[in-house]
Amino acid sequence: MPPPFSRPPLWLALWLPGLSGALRPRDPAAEAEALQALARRLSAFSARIVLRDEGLLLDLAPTLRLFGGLRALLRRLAETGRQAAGPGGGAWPGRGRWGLAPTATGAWLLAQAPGGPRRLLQRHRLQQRLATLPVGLLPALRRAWPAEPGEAAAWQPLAEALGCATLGALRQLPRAGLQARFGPGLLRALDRAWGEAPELPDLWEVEDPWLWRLELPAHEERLEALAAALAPAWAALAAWLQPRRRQASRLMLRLAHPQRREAQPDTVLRLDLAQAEHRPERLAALMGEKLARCRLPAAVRALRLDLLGSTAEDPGEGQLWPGPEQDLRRRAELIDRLNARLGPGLLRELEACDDHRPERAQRERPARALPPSSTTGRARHALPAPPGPRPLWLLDRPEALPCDARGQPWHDGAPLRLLGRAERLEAGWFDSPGERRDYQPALGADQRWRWVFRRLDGPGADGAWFLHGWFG
Amino acid sequence: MFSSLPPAPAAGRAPPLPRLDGLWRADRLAAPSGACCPSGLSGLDAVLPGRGWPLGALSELLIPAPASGELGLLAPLLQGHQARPGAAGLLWVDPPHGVQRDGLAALGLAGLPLLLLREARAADTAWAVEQALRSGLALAIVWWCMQPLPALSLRRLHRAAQGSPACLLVLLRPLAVATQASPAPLRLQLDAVAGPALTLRLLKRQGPPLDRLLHLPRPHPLRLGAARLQPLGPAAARPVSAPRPVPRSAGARRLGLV
Repeated sequence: MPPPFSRPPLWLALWLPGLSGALRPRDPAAEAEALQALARRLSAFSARIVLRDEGLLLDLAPTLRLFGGLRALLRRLAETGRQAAGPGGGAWPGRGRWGLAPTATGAWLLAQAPGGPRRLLQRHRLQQRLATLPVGLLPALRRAWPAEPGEAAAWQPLAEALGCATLGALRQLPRAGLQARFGPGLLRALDRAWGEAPELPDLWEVEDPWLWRLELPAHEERLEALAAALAPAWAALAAWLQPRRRQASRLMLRLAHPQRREAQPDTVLRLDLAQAEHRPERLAALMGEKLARCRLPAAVRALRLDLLGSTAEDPGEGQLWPGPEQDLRRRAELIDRLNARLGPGLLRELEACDDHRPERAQRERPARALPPSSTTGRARHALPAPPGPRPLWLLDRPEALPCDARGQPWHDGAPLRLLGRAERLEAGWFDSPGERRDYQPALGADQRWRWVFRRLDGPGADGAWFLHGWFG
Repeated sequence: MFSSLPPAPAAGRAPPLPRLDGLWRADRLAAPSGACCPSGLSGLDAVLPGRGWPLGALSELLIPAPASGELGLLAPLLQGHQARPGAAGLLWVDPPHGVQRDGLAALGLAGLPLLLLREARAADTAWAVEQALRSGLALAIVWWCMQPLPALSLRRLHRAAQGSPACLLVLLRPLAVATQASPAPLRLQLDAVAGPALTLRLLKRQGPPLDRLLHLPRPHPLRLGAARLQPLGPAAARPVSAPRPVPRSAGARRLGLV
């Protein structure tokens, strides 16, 4: 299979021998976890990552131009490495060393070489350098690729017995004899390092779903401290979202409490975003609002953040000129922020319904931000004009009005003066006994306009008057 | 040190004041410091600095009770704000009753989305309004604030409004706060409805106090549907005389109250 990129690859190898810490015995599970964490960070720079036993390989060629050239990219990689190593941890976690070469195997050998140049961008320079490397690197070469059947158990003693001190000397021996003594793996690995055989490493894929865990060093009760402890999670999430061109839409934060005599259930905070988001500072602010409002039943010993849902990145992001899409995005951000503190349901918007009864012609529903494509069509949708006047304010339930002997409705201790012609509304026969109402504006003694109706045939009250609204 | 001061000006003639932002002579209408939105009522526009309600500032309208005709005053203003380029919609906080969609359309306010915020706690409501101001959206925010609001909250709101120069913020408050101090540069008072017109008092503006009452047309319910097509009937189109010139001898009694 030809590689998907026309340009030759450029592999950065990171050899991280002490990733699990200096402690012995080694802890393979912890090492693998730390390696995954580092790979997640580095996946912001390239999607082609290969995990090895004690390190990883990163193909920089596809993203060189995106990050502005090799020098800028290496600087950013070094920054990320220092962040991953933490304060006082050196350039890379686990006293790591690096090598940069056009072949993955070559870069891997350069990273583990005892000295000399680590950055060889041209293939013939790489070959010259590889030829001088000692045979002590044969174990590393062997671990660079999965073992094949029929291989010799140990390459290095055999090579030393043959009198070869360098890889170049070994490679100059007759190939048939080498293959017979070492098995096919050595020649193939050497050819791959020299760039004369294709390398098809298994690319690393992030495990789905994304999650982040942290055991706090001490039990913590202060909410600000918890928010601060979450800070690396947002950076890691952003680094995970960015290469996938995705944005987080639903997140769950689980706060684990120490287990005392009785089991204490975890506190769970959910963040449902109307506008999917990938910027770490925005996500941190939104979760911070949630966190600041929550009541902790006990101290927290561990945090876990799960990404429950994500959406494809919005192509409108980063437009040069402000436009309606940006307003919609800011509106969605505002709704998210208000909902995060107030709780859902207090911020509402009107939704039009198909019904002639005024109290059912619209519904208040919790506000949500519509994606830009669907709102424009709805806003332009012309409403059919009602046949009569409509007040702005509508009472939640109609208020019964007393009547005098002539059938004139009263309100606030004075008779109402009816205006204009009555408007008959007859609806509801499809889902209830049905109702006929005659609506009319009415002027009270206080000169305020009311909207009243007379129920013509209702349950029990024939011809009764009701107040249903106020004109603004 | 004192000798370096400029000589005192000749008595009788004040030196011209430097032209500074936010500085105005209290016997004249101020030049608007930011954008203004015409109220749609020419009788009111004529007496306001900048010929309209200020954007990016807190404005107060005192009303006898919620739903006592304030929308007759605010609807042309909100329409005007909606017609501005980039307007993002309306935010109504604690409206007194349910909102009817057709009634909104009859006032000409159905063109842009309306957000309603109800039943939040007082501190949360003030915070939400502040966040809406800070969001950078050109919202028109109307808050029916019938509970007493601490002076600190008012100042915070005004401060937040100053940071968003495209936002219209109108605070509707009860008549009882007319005697309390407020940071709002524009304060109006709507009297209880007594006739076919709305009666408006100008409590405070960046300019000399106004002694007379303003009588503004009140939209008739039977003519509301037509308000979508033309601005509020014949009364709005009538030319209104310019504000009375203030006599020079008026003295300190006529100085602005800001």
